[in-house]
Amino acid sequence: MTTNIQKTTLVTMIIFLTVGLYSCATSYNGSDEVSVARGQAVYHEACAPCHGDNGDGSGPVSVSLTTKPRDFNLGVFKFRSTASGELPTDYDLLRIINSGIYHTAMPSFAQMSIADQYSVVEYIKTLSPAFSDSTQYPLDTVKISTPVPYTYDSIERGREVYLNMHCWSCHGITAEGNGPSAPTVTDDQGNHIQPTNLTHFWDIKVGRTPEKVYLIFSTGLNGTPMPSYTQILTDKQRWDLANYVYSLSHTSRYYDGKQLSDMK
Amino acid sequence: MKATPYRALFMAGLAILFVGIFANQSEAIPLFARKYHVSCFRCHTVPPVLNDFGRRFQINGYQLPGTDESEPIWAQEPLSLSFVFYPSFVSAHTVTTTGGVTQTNDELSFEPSGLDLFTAGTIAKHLSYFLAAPIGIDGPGQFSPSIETMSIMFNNLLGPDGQSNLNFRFGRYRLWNTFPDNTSLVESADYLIYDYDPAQGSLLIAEPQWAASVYGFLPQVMDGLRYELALSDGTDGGASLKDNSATFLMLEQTEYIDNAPFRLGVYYYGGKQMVGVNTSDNLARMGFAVEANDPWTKRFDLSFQYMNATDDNIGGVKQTMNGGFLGLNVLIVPEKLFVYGRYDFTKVTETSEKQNQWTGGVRYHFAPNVGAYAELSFLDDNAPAALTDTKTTLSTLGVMVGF
Repeated sequence: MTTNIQKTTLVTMIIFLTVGLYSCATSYNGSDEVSVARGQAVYHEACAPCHGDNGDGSGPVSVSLTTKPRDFNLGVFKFRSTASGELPTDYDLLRIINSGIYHTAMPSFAQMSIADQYSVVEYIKTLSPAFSDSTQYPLDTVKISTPVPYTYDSIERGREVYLNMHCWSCHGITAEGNGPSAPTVTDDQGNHIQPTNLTHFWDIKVGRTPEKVYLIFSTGLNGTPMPSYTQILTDKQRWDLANYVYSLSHTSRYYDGKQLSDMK
Repeated sequence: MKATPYRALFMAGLAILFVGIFANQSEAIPLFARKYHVSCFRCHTVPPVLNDFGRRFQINGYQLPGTDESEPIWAQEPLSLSFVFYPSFVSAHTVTTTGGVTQTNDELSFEPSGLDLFTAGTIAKHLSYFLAAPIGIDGPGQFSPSIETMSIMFNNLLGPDGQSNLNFRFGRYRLWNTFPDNTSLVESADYLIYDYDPAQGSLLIAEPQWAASVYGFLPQVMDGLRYELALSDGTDGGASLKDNSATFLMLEQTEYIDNAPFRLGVYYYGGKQMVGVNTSDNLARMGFAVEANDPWTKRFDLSFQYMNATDDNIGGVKQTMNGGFLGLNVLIVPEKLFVYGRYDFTKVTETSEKQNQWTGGVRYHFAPNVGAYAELSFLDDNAPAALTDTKTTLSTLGVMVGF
């Protein structure tokens, strides 16, 4: 039944497959060694569909996502433990790979071997010249101070800070991500950013504890309009604000009844 | 009461409105999205169409690429279980001409769809499973559960962990070719080439079948070579492989052109099936498929497949069919709005029977797991030997809810 054309095609397919399997057999062997080459191989398989082979964030999947993948070529990272405008630490990058980012397409790769995760970090650092720029170092890591207790008084003070610092202009008076500036918020690349609905726990990307919210107020989100407040707010005010923001998606959801018209 | 497309439109509009209201209150997400805390669009351009990441996830035993999980599902939170519900309203207008006599028929129906149950995940390191079990709704209090696909997968046999170069699976499942039957965006019209079954046998290339496969993904070959080599016992299983078996080989190469994926697949499916007492049919299905995204906007997804089918004993004679399809999916608003269309065609050489089918549709997602669609499909089935020409127009409005 099989024709000569079919036989020829089958033989060609088998040869192609054999060559492919041979090439994979000669690839890295899965040891515990951390290396850029290994990171590149893992990146090519697990990260490239979104972040692109060259790391510019325009992988084949990126066009169909509302939250765009990070452009590693820019060396600008939102979620860090370092001061505003600085590069992330290796641990910051590893933490994102390991934990993922909620409410985005970035999953947790906690099941990936730790050597592979570290190797991907090493490879990502080769995608931007910023990481090899000696003037970027040493990195100034933000220290998390002693937390202000999570109390009703602190939450109430945090609400005042929220209103006075105009957080509502993006996040809304009711913190539902619907402030008057929300439709026009963009990142440095011009991609629209939807301000987080702080009352939805499931919408919050990283700030899922008061400590992590405090860290965001301290570091800012590089490449976005979200600034660092270390020079503007006292440490206590940042903790109060963190407690208030945390409360919005947990327990009290304190709201003082102020309307947008009261703010103008 | 006379059924009209307008009545269907009105009723479906109400259904869509209901789903829209429901979607705003919905926080539920299906199985894998829930497990990995990501949106459905992580793996789907638009459900159920898999994107490049989704195919890598699928071929790695329903685990993230680069990972090889060891935690069994019974130790995981949340439970690896999801349901999909997709009712629709269908208005069918059929014009049949037989020997010069024309008959017209109009029907309006509600397709309740039942409920598809999915469970999948890790059993142990290098070992995972997938199970799809539709639960049909036959009447008040009457349900008919069945198992559509059920497979066990041994992952990463070549190592290292998370590199799905060589895997093995067995069970009842769909063979993987470039455009699997169950990942089409078109809901109301089947792929004509996949439905071609002149012998009415059990060797059907696109249907779930009892099989054992070696398969894998080789990211080292350009932007990924996918392959599967399978031995199938057909959709029913249980028959002697001597009487009823097919070999399947598929290769699919992906290359990113300016970050727009271009896929080229070739496949062969051939064997022997019993179609009566001491009567067998030797068949072969062979074809190629192409998927290309435009490299400029990356929002236009063009698909094409061509198949040649031969059977040596259809009523005692050889029969050959050539057919295929050409499709286009357009992403209007990411994660929200899509329009699509497809043209299917088949022609049987010996009988001159021709089928041509045009389908167009639009889909809107209220949430990643809740969508609604409207489709219009036209099928022209011309069978000169039987002096019959049938033209069928289907208007379909439906919703899909996964939770």
